[in-house]
Amino acid sequence: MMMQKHGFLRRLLICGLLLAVGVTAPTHKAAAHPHVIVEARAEILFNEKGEVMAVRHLWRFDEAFSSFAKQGLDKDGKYTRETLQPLAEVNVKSLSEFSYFTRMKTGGKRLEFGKPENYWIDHDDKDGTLVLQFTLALAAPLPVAAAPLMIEIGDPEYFVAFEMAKAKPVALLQARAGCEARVREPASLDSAAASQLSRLPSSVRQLPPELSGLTQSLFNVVIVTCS
Amino acid sequence: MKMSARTPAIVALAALALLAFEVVAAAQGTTPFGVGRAEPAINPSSFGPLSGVASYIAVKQAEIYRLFASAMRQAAHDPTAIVTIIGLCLAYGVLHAAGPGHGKAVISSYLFATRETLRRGIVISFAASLVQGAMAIALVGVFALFFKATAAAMDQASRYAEIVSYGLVALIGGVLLVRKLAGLWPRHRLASAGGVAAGHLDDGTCCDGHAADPRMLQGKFDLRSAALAVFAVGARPCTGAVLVLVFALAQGVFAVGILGVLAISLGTGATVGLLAALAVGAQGLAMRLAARRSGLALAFQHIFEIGGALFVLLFGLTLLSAALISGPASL
Repeated sequence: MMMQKHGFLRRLLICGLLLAVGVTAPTHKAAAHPHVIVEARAEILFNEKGEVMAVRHLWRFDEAFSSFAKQGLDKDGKYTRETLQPLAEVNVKSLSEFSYFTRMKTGGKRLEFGKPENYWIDHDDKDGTLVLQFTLALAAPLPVAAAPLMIEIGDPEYFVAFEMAKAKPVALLQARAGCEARVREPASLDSAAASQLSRLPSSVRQLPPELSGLTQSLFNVVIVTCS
Repeated sequence: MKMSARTPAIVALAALALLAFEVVAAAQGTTPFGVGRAEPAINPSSFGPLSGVASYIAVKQAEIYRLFASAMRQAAHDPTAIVTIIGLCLAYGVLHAAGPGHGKAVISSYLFATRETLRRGIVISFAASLVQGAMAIALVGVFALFFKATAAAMDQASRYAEIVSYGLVALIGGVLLVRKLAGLWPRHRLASAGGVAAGHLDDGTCCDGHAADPRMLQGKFDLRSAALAVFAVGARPCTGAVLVLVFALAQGVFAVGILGVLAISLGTGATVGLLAALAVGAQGLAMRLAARRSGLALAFQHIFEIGGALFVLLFGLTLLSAALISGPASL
């Protein structure tokens, strides 16, 4: 009798606990990732020797994030580089923790680059969006020859969705003849993967290992070749 | 008999404590761009009736966002755009509340702890959602509209609201726990000392009249603690609502933003209310099942009340410590 009662009680308890878990932690947050959408353009800067010196990012934030970020930074209703400079400072400072969402490689080797230079924010008066610009200089200028330069732009954790601009995603500045750039768009997220990602709360910055492989394909890759 | 009532109680409390620490508290703070608060959340799980909808939305997210943005731009001169905005906000509220926000966990556990009725549970859920919407409107109205505050200042204000909210959650949990334990121990001692008929707890014979007693005793305090729970949950404005308002303000249609936030609140209230109803129903079911076995009902009542209060306390403390660690915004 005792045993029976104990078993029943235990089963009931497990039932109750399952219900409690079901009530307090069910379902998942839709639309948790991404939180900010960035339309990216990249300019590749060459030196007189025809070597790649740096990449300049031009990142247009989505309208809602732009509206939030620029609040109170106007002067008499106008947003200028000067009034937006404190925001640019905060942006690049915070981005350092995320390696500027940039990776540069050639021939399978990672290239080092320095801290952002020449950074500012331009306000697009037409749609009110903000465009953050900053330059990342390579530690050593790279003569692009046999192996192409690959610049990967993206957030492996998909907190920020990077999309390359439809018009003129890449520009080569002062490049010698025979240099070209193209963009490899990321594979579009399949619905299962997107759903897994969307389930992550926004506080999660470190993806679980089983998902980090999946998001590697979310990088936009700018490929620079010179013949 | 004492064993059989206590062992599972300990197991249940331990499990609840573990559940509370499932709360993902790390890395709560700002976005990678240094402005805009990221939301804290409890660990999500992969089941639930909305998973199909959620994966569709995840794939279509950028498109849905653009639909929303263009509707907001048109809202000033096109009333049909307002309908689109309200619809999207309502859906956002429903789905957002189904996610790992703290509101539904706190409210469900609070209902466990206080054994509120179904109707009151739903009223509390909607009230908390509306307070949350009102807080977002107040935050943006005061800081953005009148003080022309920067994003960093608003992040800071949100952070203080978070700290107040989580502190109150912990406080409610603590008060419920203390009140429950204070009511439990003296009677327990009485029962073991002399066998006062109404005081027995786990001796196997439950009296029918007893279950109604605590409700009547607590009835007076319930409204006050319910109001506190509503405020605790609502004090922290939802990031999505703030973003809708700021965006509306930037487009010169703040009133449309307010309508959108009210729609978010209604959607949130509906989901939290549904989950609250599930919590009340689950508890009622467990109690009814338990009532078939002599003595179990009272043990269950205690487990629910203590467990619920403990969960609210631990949940509040975990979120509070995370909010305090995350530090101020840096502008």
